[in-house]
Amino acid sequence: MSQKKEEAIQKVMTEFESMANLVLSQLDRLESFFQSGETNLPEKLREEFDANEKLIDQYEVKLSERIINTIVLFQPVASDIRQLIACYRIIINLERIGDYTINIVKFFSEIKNLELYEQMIGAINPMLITSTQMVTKSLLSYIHHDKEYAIWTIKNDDMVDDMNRKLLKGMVSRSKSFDDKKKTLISFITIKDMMDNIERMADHATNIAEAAIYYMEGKDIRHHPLDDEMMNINQ
Amino acid sequence: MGNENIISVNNPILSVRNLTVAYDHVPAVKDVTVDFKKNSVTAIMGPSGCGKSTLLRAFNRMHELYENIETTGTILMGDVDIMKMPTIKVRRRMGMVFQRPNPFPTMSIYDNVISGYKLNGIPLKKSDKDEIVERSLSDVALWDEVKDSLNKKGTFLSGGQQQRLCIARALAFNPEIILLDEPTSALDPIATSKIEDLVVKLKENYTIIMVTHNMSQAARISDYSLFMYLGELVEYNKTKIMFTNPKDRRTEEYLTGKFG
Repeated sequence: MSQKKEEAIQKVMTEFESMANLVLSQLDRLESFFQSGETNLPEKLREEFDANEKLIDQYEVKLSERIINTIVLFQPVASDIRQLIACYRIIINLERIGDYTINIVKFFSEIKNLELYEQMIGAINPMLITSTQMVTKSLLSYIHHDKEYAIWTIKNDDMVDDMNRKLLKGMVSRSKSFDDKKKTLISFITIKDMMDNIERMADHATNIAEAAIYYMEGKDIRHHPLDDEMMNINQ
Repeated sequence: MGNENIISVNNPILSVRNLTVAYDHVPAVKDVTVDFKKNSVTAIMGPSGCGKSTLLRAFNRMHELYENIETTGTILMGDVDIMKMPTIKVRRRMGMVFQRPNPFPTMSIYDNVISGYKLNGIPLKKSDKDEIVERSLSDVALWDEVKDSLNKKGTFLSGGQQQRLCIARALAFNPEIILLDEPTSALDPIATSKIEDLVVKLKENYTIIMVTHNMSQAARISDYSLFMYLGELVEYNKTKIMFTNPKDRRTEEYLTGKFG
């Protein structure tokens, strides 16, 4: 019975890593495109994004079912149940991150004021890079039981929120110099939406890190500030 | 209690201090200290041979029946040391039910329930006997099934009914604590389910301490869980904590099937 249970949990983890890698590859593609400074997304790249997004959604459904079946059939306890419950929580967040990636991809075609975009890209890129790093590290914290990565992710959530606020203010002050108000306004809203999606990715990375800590230590730290011991990690 | 993996409880009904039980001078239970909470169900778990049943049987002094078994330490019910109580009194306050249902084969259902009084020479009026029989059988949800056949032999009943009869026999003395030694391991799933429901119901009025090999059963019905390994009490905690976040590596490995 124990071996079958181990095999079932391993199947969950193998499928989970495939889903995680797919989400990370989407973020990688997105980062590369941002760095190119372009706004015209090539059709082929767009199709890749869409195809992978469908796969991510399918993974979420398949994995949810696999996790539930494993729990029902093998009644895992202790670290096994925590691993599976954490995985269940994480895949929901991964699916949302996949959605935000696609949202951002769609926004490129709605940017009308290229000058505003070019001025902002230098600030948006670091925000995207930080959010992507948070997603990567939070996933690694779960897969490799790395508490330091989880804590790093949680601590950096505030930094991304801060970047978002500062970018918004920067955009508003810059927009006064543009004459074409309608185009500027539309681009402003679009770029703001992009930033909000990037910021929400970071929030979901934080959720993933919290789930990883639950798995590693059996502590549910959602909606609680980090305790002193955790605050001193990464110092 | 010294070991941070063993929690304390308020107002325990049974307090065990430094209990050691040895067979032919070889300890099978080693220096166990633990408190049991009133009106709760505690499951004692662990791999075969870890001392679970030995611990349980120490509580109602069953080991005194055997010369080669030595028990040291203190067991308090309230403030009273049970080692200094007459054994009949101990066994009235702590009823015991064993793995295999064992109604007395020559006695009727009625006589099985009040057998404790008869065998100990405690006289009872007929009306008192009737009251005890009805109360005890009702408490185990058996009264309606057998009230018209109380004169039939106890062995006439199904396995699950026999086990409930044995529990009724223990309840007849109005004990404070009921000790169950793997009460469902010889029963089919439906009978097991009925006994489990009964255990949960009984804790309203009694304290239950139960040895079980069935971890799922412990998770389903116990409030507290106690894990033993090689005669030692390794961990004792609320069941939901033990089963989601055990503190000791040995408990974790046992619960996740690495051994046992």
